[in-house]
Amino acid sequence: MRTFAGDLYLLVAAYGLALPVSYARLPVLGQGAFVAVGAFGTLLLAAHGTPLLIAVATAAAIAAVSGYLMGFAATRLAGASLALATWAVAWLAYVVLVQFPRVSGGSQGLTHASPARLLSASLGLTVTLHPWVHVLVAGGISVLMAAVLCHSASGPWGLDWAALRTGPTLADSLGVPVQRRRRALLAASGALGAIGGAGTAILIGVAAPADYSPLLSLQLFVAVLIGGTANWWGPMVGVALLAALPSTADNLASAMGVDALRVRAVLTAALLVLALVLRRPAADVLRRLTARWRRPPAVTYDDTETAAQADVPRGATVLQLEGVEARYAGVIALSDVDVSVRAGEVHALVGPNGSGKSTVLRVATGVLAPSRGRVTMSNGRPAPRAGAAAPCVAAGVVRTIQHTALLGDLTAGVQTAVGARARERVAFAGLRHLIASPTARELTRSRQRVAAGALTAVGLHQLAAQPADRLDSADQRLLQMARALATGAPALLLDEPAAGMAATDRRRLAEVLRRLAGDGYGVLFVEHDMALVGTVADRVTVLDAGRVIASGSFAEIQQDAAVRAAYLGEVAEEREPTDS
Amino acid sequence: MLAVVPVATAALLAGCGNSSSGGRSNSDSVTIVVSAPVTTSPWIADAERNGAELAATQLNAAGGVNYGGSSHHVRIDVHDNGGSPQRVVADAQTAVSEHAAALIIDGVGAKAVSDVTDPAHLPVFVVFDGGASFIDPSARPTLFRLAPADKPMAMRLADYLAAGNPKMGLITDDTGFGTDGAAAMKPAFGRDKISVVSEATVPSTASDVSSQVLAARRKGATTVVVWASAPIVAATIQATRSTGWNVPIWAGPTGEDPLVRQRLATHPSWLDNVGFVSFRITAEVGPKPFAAYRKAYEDKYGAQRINVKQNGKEVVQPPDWSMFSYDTVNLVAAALEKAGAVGAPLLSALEGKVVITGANGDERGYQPTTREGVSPDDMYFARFHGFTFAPVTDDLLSQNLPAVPQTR
Amino acid sequence: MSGGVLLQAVISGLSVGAVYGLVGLGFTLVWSLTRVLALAHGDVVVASVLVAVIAVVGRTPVASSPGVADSVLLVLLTLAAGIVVAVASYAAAVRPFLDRRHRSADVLGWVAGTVTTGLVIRTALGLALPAAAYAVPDPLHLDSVTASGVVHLPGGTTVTVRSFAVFGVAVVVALVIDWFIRRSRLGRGMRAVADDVDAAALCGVNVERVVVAAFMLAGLLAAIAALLDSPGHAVAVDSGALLGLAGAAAALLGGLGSSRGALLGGLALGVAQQLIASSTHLGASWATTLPLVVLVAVIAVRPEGLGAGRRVVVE
Repeated sequence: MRTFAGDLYLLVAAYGLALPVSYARLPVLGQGAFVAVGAFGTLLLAAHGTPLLIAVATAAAIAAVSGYLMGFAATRLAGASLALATWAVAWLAYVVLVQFPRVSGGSQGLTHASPARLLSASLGLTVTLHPWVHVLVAGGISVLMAAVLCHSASGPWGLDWAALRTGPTLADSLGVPVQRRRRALLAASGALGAIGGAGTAILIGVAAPADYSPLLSLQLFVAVLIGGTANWWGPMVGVALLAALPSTADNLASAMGVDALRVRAVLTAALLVLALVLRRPAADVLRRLTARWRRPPAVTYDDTETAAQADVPRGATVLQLEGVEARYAGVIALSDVDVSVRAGEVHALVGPNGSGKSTVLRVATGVLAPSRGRVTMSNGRPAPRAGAAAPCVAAGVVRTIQHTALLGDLTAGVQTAVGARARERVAFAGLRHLIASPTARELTRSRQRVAAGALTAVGLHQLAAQPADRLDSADQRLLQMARALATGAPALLLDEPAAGMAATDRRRLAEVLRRLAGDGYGVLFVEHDMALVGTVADRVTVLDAGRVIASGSFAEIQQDAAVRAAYLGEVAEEREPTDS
Repeated sequence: MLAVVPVATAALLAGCGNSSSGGRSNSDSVTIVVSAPVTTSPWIADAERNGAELAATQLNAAGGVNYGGSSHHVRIDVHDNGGSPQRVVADAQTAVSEHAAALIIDGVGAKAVSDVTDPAHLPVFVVFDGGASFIDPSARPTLFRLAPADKPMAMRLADYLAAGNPKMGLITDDTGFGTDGAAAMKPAFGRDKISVVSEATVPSTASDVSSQVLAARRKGATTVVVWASAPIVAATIQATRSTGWNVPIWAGPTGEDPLVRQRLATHPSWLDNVGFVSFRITAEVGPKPFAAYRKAYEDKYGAQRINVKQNGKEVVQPPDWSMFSYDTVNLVAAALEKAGAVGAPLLSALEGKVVITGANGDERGYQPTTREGVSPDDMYFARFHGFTFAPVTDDLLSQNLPAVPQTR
Repeated sequence: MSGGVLLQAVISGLSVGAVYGLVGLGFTLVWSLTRVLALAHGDVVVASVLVAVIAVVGRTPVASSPGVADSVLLVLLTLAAGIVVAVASYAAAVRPFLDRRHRSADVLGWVAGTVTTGLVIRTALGLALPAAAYAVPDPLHLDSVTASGVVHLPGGTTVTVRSFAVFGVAVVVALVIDWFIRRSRLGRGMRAVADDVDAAALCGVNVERVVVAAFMLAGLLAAIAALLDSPGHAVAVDSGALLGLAGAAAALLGGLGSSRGALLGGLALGVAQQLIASSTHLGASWATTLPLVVLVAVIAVRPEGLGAGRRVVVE
């Protein structure tokens, strides 16, 4: 019973770690540090006379705040640095505990009477925390977490997380507040880790540095990885495997005829590696086997849906760059660039490789701050300078990124719904969704309407129920546009939407672009295919070496001497090096 | 479903995975649980488990333990605690549920197990850790120690050194052993009015302690005491002797650790004037008891080589630490025969009613109000002569002890 | 702290730091080419020398001065073991998680892979070497340069000959590596891959071979560090993990991707650590935690290290 309760507390910590690792794909290797904060925080506070429940709550709050602060550091960290930082934190926590026995009680650790008792003088009540109480508490939290994760998958949280784990750049471009979500996940992860640690410490009545070595962080990380990506049951499978590892190693050892205790450590390590190697193939097999039981998504759209409409007056300026200069590490990439996009027109941005086309899109969507000049958004306000695209999406400017980025195997409808999240202005939408409040249900319905409209606008409404990874590459490009449309931003910036498309698909794309302009959107697109540009663009701006060398209708551009000069020799077009 | 297969297999296997030396676990056997840091500190775990298993083998060969009207086969159930108090508590739970006669631990978790073992009247024996913080007959009545406690050892050393009226340079490290030792030594030195002219704590991973040694030399220290893990003891001797400072150096029980001699393998002369305080390996009764124990131990597990030579002969380390778990099993067996049952009767028999002769010829047993099985009088001083050590001749309690052969 | 003690702390700090620098150099090399952090690199250091010691002198080593044949064998085997372990860890834990361009693709995969590889190395070594720590023979005979193995400094202080040797050799090795990367054909290939892997591949550079060569070089550096350093103190089987993190801290202090920076970062870290260790106010515990504190602090402020001017945009 006690062992089981301990495993369940480990599961609570694993559920905590699953939030950043499995749902947002952040390589967090420091969960053991949070578990230690919970254990030592609780026992230290309890030793100084704090009532037990308050001690646990305080320790969890401290861990949540540390997780939140770690999230601030993580805002600047690419995946690899976050792994190193959190691994260092795991070691730091352990080394500090070992080196400063005044905090940790040294090798004997801090102790607490076991079984612990909860006393309430006012109620005259004493509750003895027998192991079965711990099983109920830890099991309850785990089941609750599983339920929350399962139910959130289709709600606002699940949609945002799906974007987060595909890539921060993509999530940002769709208006998901990446850093806020990351911080929230890390804070929740810290709190759950601390609760797991506190629970185990109270259950067993002792916490010592040896129990919180970086091995614990590693084991939790591997357990969560084994559980797969964004599965509500993932941590359960992972922790079950983890709990079974030592005895599996023992049985393996006795089968090999060696001293089980002696080889247990190395066999356990080897089994961890094996589990890592097998996780992908196992997940594939599992997916194939369960495919037939998976519910088809409830929502499909038909032709009766109306296409999305932009809600700005025709002809209004939805994006304006005036005298923009931009630099990368001091090198000037754009100078004195003027570009404007009006509602109802398709505006093409052309130019040789490295002429600064993608940079214009990055400046226009707030990813790169201009060193000089002014950027005005759809709402008539200057661009928010945040180094992130999400605030610009809210201000009415959205872009698609150059390479195709899908949100995993989610259906086209769900992927589009992620974009639709950007226009929602409901506080605590995730929590409201959990308790199925009327507001949340209304929100879900309107989100589905928006997604349907966006899919209709690009002509994908019949494929709404298809998993996106089964669409062909042209449809995937159109799906990206639908996701951007769903955000509700009237200025639509597309980075090489036709890349990799066959001639028939390009015709479809041209139709879609014209239709979007007709529906009131202002489209700015980067393109190399002059035939496509000639077909759809109302206006063309030509960039060369970071400057605008011509602007006007396609016919005017074709006559321009400077443009001809710039394009001389530009026979074999290569793709620009990736800019994301 | 591939992912489910390992889960199911593992769950199936989960129930049945402990190592035990005896196969039988039926009613005519008696279990002693050994919780040892097998994966984290194998060198401690080996001594702990080998001693216990040797005692069990000998008891079983002699017909087992007679109590309650029948003869009982002794079963040693070894668990790996990974240096974790939480797992020691789990092992204690296993011991209680198995109705084990006793639990043997290295010392980790000693503070925490009594919540489990006190209600069950399960005696727990600490056979390695000499820390001061946990032995407490009134608060933890089931916790016994059959290992030298650090504090009386430090006090004995202070008393012994006080005669020379030295100026002391004290070097400790940041391990638990070093920290506890420093805490025990300082009051002991104060009581004996020994002036400590310099004291330093070094990281246990330090490779060079010459600045700490130099500080002691500058302050005019006439004796250096190093109470630290074996690598730091070796580094201190190296830093002292390589500068030509032939000051007397005294270490704690880590001084006899083979690593010290392995580190100084090319400089046997540096060990001259180096001594240590430890528990005695032989008693006044003579070398025979330990010789017999040693033969049995080395026949079963082999001798511990140090891989250095003295006078052309190979130096080996006597199996001293394993005596404590060996004695513990024998003491529990004797107490069982007296008490007739495990649990409360056994506990009461251990409290002053049973005394055995230990592996080194010393008497092992407890008074009703004590829980320390190695008295300060059982601690001795030894000095190196090349790569082997022998009891000193200027201490009353050491001079009559026979030296243990250490070459072969 | 007196002048003599200060000088001594600085010199032994330079020696400790040179080891960190060599470890950091391997770390930074691997990172430039693959954007992978070799989290098992410290364990490669310990494994290289212990594998050679087991093979040549067995499982009960002492700090002896081995004969010529044994010395040569020990040196060669250590270098070989470093290279083999580093390449094996690449094949098992890094390669499966790289993309076609040999750049980090599945971060979660190689993070878990490298960390568990370190664990496998530590536990496998622990199986063969169960004691708390081991004495390692000195195939380079640095302790026999003077009779007592130390050099007397003005002010009555002493420093081991080894300290000078570790520092000197590390600086020379770092310079050679620097030269190698700048001048040799393979080195230029490495720089090309580090700068722009696609362009390098287009120019006919065999990326796989260059990446494997980088891991081999990192393993070689680890083995050199181990050969120089480990005979000077007791070696614990599991000491590699913290050593690796200290190397990472050195690499970050000097700016990830800079080979000179890694060495300078290591030297700064080593000196700071020794000064803290010999200070009466801070002492051992703070010295032990220093590399980890530096590591966390540097990453939080500048993810690519202090020397690097570039800021990383999200992923």
